Amino acid sequence: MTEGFYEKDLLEKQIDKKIAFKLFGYIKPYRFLLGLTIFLLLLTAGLEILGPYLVKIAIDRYITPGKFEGLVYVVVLYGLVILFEFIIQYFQVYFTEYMGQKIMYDMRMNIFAHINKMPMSFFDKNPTGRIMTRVTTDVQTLNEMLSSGTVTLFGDVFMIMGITVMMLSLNWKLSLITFSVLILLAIATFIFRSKVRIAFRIIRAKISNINSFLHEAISGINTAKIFNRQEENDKDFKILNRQYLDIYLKTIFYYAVFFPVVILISTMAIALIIWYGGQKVIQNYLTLGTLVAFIQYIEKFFHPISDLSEKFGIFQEAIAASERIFKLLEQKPSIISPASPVKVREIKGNIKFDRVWFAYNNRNYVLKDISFKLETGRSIAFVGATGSGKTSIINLLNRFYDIQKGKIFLDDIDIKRFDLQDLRKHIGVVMQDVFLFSGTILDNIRLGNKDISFDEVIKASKYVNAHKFIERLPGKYDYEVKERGQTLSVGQRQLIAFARALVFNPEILLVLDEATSSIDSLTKIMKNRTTIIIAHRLSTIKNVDKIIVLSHGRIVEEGTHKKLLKLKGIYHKLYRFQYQLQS
Amino acid sequence: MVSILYIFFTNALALLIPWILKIVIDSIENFPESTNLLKYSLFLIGIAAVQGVFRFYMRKILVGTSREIEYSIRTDFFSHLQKLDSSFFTNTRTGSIMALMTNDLEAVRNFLGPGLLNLFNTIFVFVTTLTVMFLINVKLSLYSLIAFPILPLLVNKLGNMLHQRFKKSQEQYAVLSAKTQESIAGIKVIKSFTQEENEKSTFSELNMEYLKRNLSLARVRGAFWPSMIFVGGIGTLVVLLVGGRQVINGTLTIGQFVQFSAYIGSITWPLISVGWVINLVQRGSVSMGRINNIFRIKPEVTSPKKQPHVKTLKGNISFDHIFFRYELNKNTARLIKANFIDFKDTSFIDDKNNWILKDISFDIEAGMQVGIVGFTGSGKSTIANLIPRLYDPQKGEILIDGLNIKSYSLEVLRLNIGYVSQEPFLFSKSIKENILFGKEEYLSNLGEIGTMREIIEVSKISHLHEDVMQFPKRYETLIGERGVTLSGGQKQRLAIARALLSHPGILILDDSFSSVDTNTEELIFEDLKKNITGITTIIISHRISTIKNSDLIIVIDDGKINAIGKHVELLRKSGIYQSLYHKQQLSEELEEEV
Repeated sequence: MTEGFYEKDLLEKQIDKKIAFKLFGYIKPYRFLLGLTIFLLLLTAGLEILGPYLVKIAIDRYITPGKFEGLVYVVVLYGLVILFEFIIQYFQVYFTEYMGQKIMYDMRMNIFAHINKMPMSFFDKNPTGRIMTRVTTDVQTLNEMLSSGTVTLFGDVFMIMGITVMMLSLNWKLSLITFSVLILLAIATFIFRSKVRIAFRIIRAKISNINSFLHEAISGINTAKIFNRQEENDKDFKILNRQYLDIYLKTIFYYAVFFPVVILISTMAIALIIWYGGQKVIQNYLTLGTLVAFIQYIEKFFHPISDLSEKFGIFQEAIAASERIFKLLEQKPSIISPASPVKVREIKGNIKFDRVWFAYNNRNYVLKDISFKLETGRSIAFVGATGSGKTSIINLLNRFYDIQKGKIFLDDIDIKRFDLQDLRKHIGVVMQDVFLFSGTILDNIRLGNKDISFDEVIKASKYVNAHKFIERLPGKYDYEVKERGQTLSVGQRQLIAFARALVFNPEILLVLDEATSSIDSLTKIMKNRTTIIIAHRLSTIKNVDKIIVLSHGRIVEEGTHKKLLKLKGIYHKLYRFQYQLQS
Repeated sequence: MVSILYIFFTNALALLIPWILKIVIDSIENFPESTNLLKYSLFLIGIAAVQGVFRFYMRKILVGTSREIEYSIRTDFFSHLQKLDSSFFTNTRTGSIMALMTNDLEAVRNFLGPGLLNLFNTIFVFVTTLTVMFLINVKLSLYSLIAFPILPLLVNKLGNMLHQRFKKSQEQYAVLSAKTQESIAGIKVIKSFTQEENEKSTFSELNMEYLKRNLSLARVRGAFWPSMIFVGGIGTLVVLLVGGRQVINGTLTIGQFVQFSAYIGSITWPLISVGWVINLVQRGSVSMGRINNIFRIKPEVTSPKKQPHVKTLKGNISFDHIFFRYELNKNTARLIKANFIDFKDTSFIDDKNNWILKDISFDIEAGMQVGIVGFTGSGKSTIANLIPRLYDPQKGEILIDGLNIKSYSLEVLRLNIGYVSQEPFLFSKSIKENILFGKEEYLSNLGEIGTMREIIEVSKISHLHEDVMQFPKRYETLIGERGVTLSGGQKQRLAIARALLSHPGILILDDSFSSVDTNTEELIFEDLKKNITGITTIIISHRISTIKNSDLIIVIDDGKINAIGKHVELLRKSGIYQSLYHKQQLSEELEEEV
């Protein structure tokens, strides 16, 4: 087993101030609700503490002296207490949940919106699965802490405080004796937590190992099949799985020791009260009712403590999840709209590249010193071998990536001065691998833009010759596209992409031309639009106003079809060669 | 079974504590002088200590067992997954399967561990405590239990509602996840058509729906816990009233009264946990159902029971009227649909003639080099997928060395096929482990040094060796996120080395040179030819130059065979072949020129 890849992240996951502060930012809009919930918790704790006190009064004032009428009065009071407790608790639980769900909703929206703002390079670096986990699983995990966690914490603390006050007011000597046992409890809890904290850190690392392994094994399942690796995979997986089991069994051991110890300590407290308090009762310094109330309080006292320990693991998970979420939110998108973008009512569509240098990473330039001009309504084609950098041109005008050197102008304005949305609205893209969303054909053409009417969609589809095949599909425009459009042919998908580009009616069009796409449809949508086309075949090139030949990121030849032929360079050679073949 | 004994003793001992309290209190009340308080105190501690030991084992065994079960389900599930057909994985998402093995398995484990622990505990506490209560005072017991009959009704009614609402919430969660995934995958389209706002509003709608469903769940869940406490509270209330009266009448001692209150208290907590347990049971059973659905899916591509005694294949391949489409069997589709509601099985909606491969027939003799060409999406790779039986065709037969490939065991068949896919999948292991992938057993008799020699040999053939030697850790270099990132060409060369390691009789190269420049491609090819004579080689490619010199070239168009023959022949015969040739010449010319 190679260990290197797997997460060895054993860093301390304490809730640091930064995270707490950020989490509070999400709670803030609901602070009144939180206040109300805490108030309800306070009431619940008060009512719960009132119970044993009522029993004490019943014993001392009515049962021991034998006054039944008074007892009825206490019983009615007790009944009211539990009824109120019921009602208050219901609302407390509901409000807590409401708050937690609202916060999760906000958080998901924030992360989703943030992801949408990230530049393309972010998606190159982060696999889909990882980004998804932030929006889904991590938020879910965090909820445990935000809703039930914080509230339980408050509730349990109130309870402990309330009982302490109550006990002290009943009999301070007896209380102090009870509290003396608490030192033992503090020691036990301290040891337990430090052991469990370490164990949980290892557990997190182990489960992350299991998940990475699984993800890889499932993604590469066909490779495993072809290479007969199933059995070895089973063995590898068993080892990881076993490690996880072993460390978990260890925490189970800690818990199994801790809980009996808590009970033993609480029984010791009861024993002390019987021993000491019993003497006082015999000496008539203490009523029997107080003794009974004390015993009941001790039981209530220890419950929140074990409750908090039980939730310890959940807290640890949640802290780790929130760290991951905030780390994502902290990443600032590198390509953003300027603070005060230019306001342009109409785009004419002339484009200028001025000594543009571009690299996806570092200084590894894929485009070197590229300059060209394109007038409104004209078209330009880029020709070049694989790796010549021609595809990268398409990613620059709409600022999917920012260039390192030089400037790009649209209508003589630097594209960086436009609002991103404004800029992209005017640029239509027809891509190589057509991405279709699950949903109907109609949705895929107008992309959720309800301003585009059904008639417009049909008109566009007819224009690019997509209408015919769509009409033949079961359900026609309501035909459900399976994930990524696997049920449609490549050609059909391209026609949908054409219709999509046309229906949005952009002034500028960027096209990645493929041998499979229909030339007629392509020529149609290029009409009256400034077009940059990355060409893979001569038939497309013949239809453009200007041709640029790229090689290793540089422009080596440019001009019209005629001019380039006269030049007798690469283009000429190419054309002649093709012509010979075709005739 | 032992665990049940532990639960029994733990609870039986728990009963003793209120009993001793009763004795103490009665004793204080009646014989204040002769009460030995110290003795009783020590008794209490002693009981708690013994009970602690039992409680320790109870927890350790029960919760431990649930972890053991989790372990075996996870192991079995993974093992089962690996046996499932490729078509299963094309129809499901990695994320959804992962969710089964994390969230759902967790729910099952929670039910088996803490869930069962509490369930047993509750039952035992109830039975033992009630018995003792009835032994002390039948009338008071009956009165104090007055509110308890509504419990089963409550649990049943609320439990059902919880189940329904929980399911709805889970379903919406799946929808939300799917939407998120799609938005990320299609981010380029979204950005270029400036659909961010629309995406956000769609997401917001789904998110809001999820919120609503969760709140509807919360409305029921919120009632569960408090109502349990309420029922327990009524018990205490009745004891206070009826028991108090009995004490006044003298039919009950004050000690017994305290004992009774303690018992009611001790059955209230398990009662409260019933709500929690029900929740765990609900989740656990829903999740177990989902996991079982996958276990119920039977792989269709399996080894036959009777196999010919063949270890190596010579490499004669025949396709005999092959028809193929990606299709799930009805049962599998149903089971997948039951789990993943966003799954849309379209294979039955489409018309019957929607074949990916239509009537494909050809014969390849052992040792031949065969090229398959065609446009993207024409079905070339699908042909390659059928030979190692990643999928089985619906109609027709594929023969190797005269036998239907279904008659060989999958192991023998695949061991004899070296397969290099379009986008080779490499694992986050070392280069050595990646090359050795799947051959660990097969080469184990060669020993460490012998294995390494083999690895280096195939790496030299595929021109990977020089690159590997550049890395500081050489063959031990890790690849993937935590190691070095290989270039596209390096990945493909590694994949070729990996495929050659078992000395296969058949080598399939599915567009394996797309990221390698033409010069390197030629170099690799020369070496391949020198070193692997007699191997049937099937090359799928966009580049005609790669397959130009093949013994046989098959041109595929829209799932059908367009033409079969040699290069010169096809240039005359096939228009598609011509146009492919032109296109490639264009880019090659450009490349050479500069």
